[in-house]
Formats: sequence, C-alpha cells, structure tokens
Amino acid sequence: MSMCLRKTLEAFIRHKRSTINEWIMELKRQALINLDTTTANMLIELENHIGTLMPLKTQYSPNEYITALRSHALILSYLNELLEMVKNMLPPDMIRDIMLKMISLVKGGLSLDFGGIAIQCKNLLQSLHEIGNQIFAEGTRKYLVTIIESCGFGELSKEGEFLLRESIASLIQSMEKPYITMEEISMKMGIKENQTKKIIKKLSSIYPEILSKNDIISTRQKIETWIENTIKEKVSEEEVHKLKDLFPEQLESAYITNAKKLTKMFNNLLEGE
Amino acid sequence: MISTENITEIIKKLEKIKERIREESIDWWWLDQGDAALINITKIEYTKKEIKYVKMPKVSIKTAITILLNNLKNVYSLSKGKRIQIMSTINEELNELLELVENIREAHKIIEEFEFFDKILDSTEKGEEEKAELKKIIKGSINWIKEIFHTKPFEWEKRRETFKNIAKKLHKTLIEKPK
Repeated sequence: MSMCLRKTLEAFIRHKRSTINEWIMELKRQALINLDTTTANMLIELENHIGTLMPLKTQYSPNEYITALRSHALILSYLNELLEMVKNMLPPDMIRDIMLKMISLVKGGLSLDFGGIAIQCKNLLQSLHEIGNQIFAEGTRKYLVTIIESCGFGELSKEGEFLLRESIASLIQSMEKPYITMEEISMKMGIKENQTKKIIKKLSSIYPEILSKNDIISTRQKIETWIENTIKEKVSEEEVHKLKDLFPEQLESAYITNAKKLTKMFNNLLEGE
Repeated sequence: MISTENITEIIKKLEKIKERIREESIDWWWLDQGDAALINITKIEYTKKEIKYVKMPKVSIKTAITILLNNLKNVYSLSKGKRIQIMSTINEELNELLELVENIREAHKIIEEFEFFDKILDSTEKGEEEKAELKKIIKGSINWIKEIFHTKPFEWEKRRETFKNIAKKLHKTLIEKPK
C-alpha cells in the first residue's frame, strides 16, 4: 500500500467534504431566509450523510481500505461538482435524490467495487443530460489529476486507468480538428506535459485505439467522425494532410467506412427506408 | 489496412444503386429519363507511371456511377498513399451524388404535384382567364425546376422552399374548398 496514495486520498476526501458542507451551509442559510423548513431539514440530513463519507480503517484490510478510499474520493468528487454546477439550476429535492443515491453506492457495500461505482454514477448523472455528462467528466478529471499529480500515474488502479482513457478519448472527441496535441491534453486535464507524455505512451500501449505520434493524439473513432463531417460539409484539406502523414492506415480506414456509410444511405434512400 | 472485402462490398452496393437509378429514372422525363448531364465527376486514369485525375464535363447520374465504379475497381492494386487520395475523391463525389439524387427525388415529387394540378385544372369551375394564368404558373415552375437542375443542380437547396410554397398555394386554390 502506497503511503502517498493513502494520504492523498484521505486529504482529498477531507477537502471535498468540507467544500461540500460549505455549499450545503449556504443552501441551508438560503432555505432558512425563505422560511423553507422542508428544504432546510433535507439539507441537514444530507450534511449528516456527507459527514460519514470516510471509510473506517478497522473495517477493511490495508488493500481494501485503499480501494474504499478511492471509491469514497470519486463519489465526493462527483457530489462536489454536482453541487457546484447545478445548485442554482435544479430543484433541491432533485439534487438531494441524486446525491443520496450516489452516497448509498458506497454505503451499500459497493465501496470495494470502484469500477461499478463509476458506472453507476455515470448512469445516475446521465439523467441530467448534458450537464450530467459535464459533472461526470469534471468529477472524474479532478479525482484522477489529484492522484497523478501527487503520487504519479502508476498509482491509478486498472479502473482508474480506464477512466483516464475515457476522459482523454472524450477530450479528443470534443475537438473540432481530428486530433489533440499533447500540450492541449496537458492544459485541459491539468497535468504537467512531461507527465502527460508518459501517460499517453502507457495508455496507447494498453489501449490500441489511442493513436499517438509526434505529440499528436487521436482515435480511430475521431478520425472516422471527422472524415464523415468533412466530406459532408466539404471543408478542410490541411488537417487531412496531417492525418495522412501521421495516421495513414486509420485515415484510409475512415474513408472506407465513410464510403460504406454513404452507399448504405444511398441504398436506403432508393429503397425508401 | 485496406480490406478487399470492404471495397468489394462498396462496389456491389454501387452496382445495385446504379440499377435502381436506372429503373427509377425512367420516370424523370424532365431530366431526359436520367440521361441529362448534371454532375462533374473525376475520372481517375491509371497508368504504370502515374495517376491522372481528369475532371469530366458534366455527365448523367448513371454515367457518374459507372465512372465511380471504374475508379473504385482500380483501388485494389495501388499503394497506400495513392489509395488515400483516391478514396478521398471517391468519398467527396459519392456524397455529391447522394445529395443530387436526394434533390432530384424531392423535385420530382413536386413536379408530379404540379402535373396533377395541371390535370385537374380543366375540370375546375375556374374562369378561362384564371385557368390560363394558373397553367402558366404551373408550366413556368416546372421549367424553372428543369433549368435549375440542368445548370446548377445544387442550387435546389436554396430554391426548394419557393416551389413548395407555390405547390401549397396551388393546392389551396384548386383543391381546398373555400370556407
């Protein structure tokens, strides 16, 4: 068990709990000013739950304790983002419901299933549509960056590596151009560039769908969607040349996939589907 | 890596599309049963030494598909760099063809509506002068659509609403009972 990781996660949890409690205090004050005792009581209940979000060392083996810390830290990261992003947008009872559901995940015995928790949180947050996706992305990013920056990429669990891959893939997907540069990943993720380079090198060796060459990173999926849009909108030649130099096989495959899609659409049009 | 099966699949689909267009275009009287020259396409000529991209004068849709098919059939034997460039051209032109056929089918439906209005016009109780006026509008609209497709077929996207509105007005005048 890494001492650095344990200390980092414990500090992260404490910090997130106190930030969340500050948000809740503020909401409570507003509720009391509005003489809204129902909301105030609901917030007190939530505050109590947040206070218990730290795994008890005595309940776990050393390795399990780290996993439980990871799960609690991830949940708190999402809860923090949820409050920060939607506290003035959504009705308090709706926020409370989602928060309680997320809290119950670590309380309900799932605390040792880090991957399961991440998936369940994603599903819960997806009920909030686009903002939910943003909360998930930002909550995941902050959790990952804290571990990477304090203890190094090697301290991420397998599931953490998967989450990191997902975060980077969604960053690539959100770009207008067909790739992202190392510098852009570093800036958007909040990770130092030399650390980012190591991460990308490792991730592309584990996940072949992440393509990396000369500080340019992309995915097969991104190249395919980009080619599809480029053909439709008849724009941009410059980026195609870059892709041709860096990822010729994926570019070719994207053209083939798109031609297949177009002939299928053509066929459907003529068959009246 | 390029797979032969993928290219073969695209070729097969295109051959099917060509056949369907041949059948359907028999009804496109206003486009010479599909023989009107509407689209510029690139003929890719392969020699041992080089590949030439020859932009053809406007050809019919059926010819365009044949050219595309020939371009595709030669892709198998080329090196990667050359294949990418050719596949890029094929993608762009295939997309244009698809858009063009979508436009033609949409315009054809509107022309059929105009023809229907023309047919029922004589049996309506309109005065002779009004009938003549409406006939002029119908004929003029059909000619205008023909002209668009024979000159700049992709202009249809900017014009389609105009013709839809004319058809809507004719429908109101000739079919809907006055309230």
